[in-house]
Amino acid sequence: MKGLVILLVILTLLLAGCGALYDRSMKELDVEETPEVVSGGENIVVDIDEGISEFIEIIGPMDSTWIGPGKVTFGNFVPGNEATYPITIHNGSSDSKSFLMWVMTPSLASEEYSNFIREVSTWVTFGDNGFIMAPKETRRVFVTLKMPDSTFVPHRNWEFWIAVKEGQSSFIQEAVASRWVFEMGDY
Amino acid sequence: MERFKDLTLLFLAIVLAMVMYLVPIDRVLGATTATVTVNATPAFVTLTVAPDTWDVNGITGSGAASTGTTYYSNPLGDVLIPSDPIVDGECRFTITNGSTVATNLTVDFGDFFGGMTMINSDAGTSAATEFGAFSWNSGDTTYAGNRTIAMVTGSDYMHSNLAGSTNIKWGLTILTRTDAWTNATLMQSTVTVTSTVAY
Repeated sequence: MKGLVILLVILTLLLAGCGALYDRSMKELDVEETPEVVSGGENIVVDIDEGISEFIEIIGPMDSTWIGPGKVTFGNFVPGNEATYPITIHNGSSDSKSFLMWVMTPSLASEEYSNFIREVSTWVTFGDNGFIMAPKETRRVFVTLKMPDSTFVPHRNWEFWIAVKEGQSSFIQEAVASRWVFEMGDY
Repeated sequence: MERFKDLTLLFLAIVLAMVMYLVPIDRVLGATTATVTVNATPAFVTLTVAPDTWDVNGITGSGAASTGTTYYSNPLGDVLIPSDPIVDGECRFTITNGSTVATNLTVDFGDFFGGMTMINSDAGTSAATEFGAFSWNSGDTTYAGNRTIAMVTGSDYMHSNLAGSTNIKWGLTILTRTDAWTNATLMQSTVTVTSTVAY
């Protein structure tokens, strides 16, 4: 009986410990699937670990094609983290238009946060891409960045851009981009 | 008595397991990961560019480009270098920042496709099978000193801090490849003008 109890104690402890670890890793940077919209206002800070998923509402002109937010800053980010945030896209045209999203290299020489990690394009996934939007439609597309555990980031601050443009065949093409800025934490 | 001890041990094990489950291990051992914060701005970004075409050597020239030649999108002449400072009349294109915030503008110039090989050197210089490209804008003090190399991607800003609801006139330069054309097939490329918030 004593042996059985000891075995039970060990098994229970192991299961409980693993459960706690598993549970924590799954909660880390988890974003609710149905976001709560916060209207207007200035910058908002979202503490993802607290389970808050507030995404600012972007309001722009009806007759222009635009995206928002213009800039998203992730603070205290470390390898292994995953972050999701929506890009709001508005088709200001009176016609249906196709839209393409991609990871864009920022201007390399101008900004404090311009350090670019080439691999980032393989870390980013789009909830939708190459989609067609109806005239005057506004849509949110969730963009997720998952930085691998083993990543070494040589710069404290770095950024990349999420660029969006209409499907165009012209020589000059217009694109708008959201700056995704990362301030790395200690790791 | 022995049975009572066993039951006590089992009870303690269950209680311990519940405590371990409910209290995250990092509160005991120290956090292994810190809280990530996200800060987003409510600004939207939009721009328009007009016109959206440029036939190299097609403004005052024949529309046929020669090799080893520098062409400008200058309405005053395809091979006329912009003056110092650059003025509106020398700029073919207009960018309008329809955002309510200031934006930075980049101009990327892709490789040519169709016809013969002509890839962007990303250095503003031409060579065999390579072309160089620059962007510039009205108000630049000197053309040579202020022009920006137009790379395939990652170009520096052509213009920084363009105020919201304002526009700027600008132009392009291309240095065609140095080796001779081997056919007359039309070659095409795309130039992408990108706007990002300036803060």
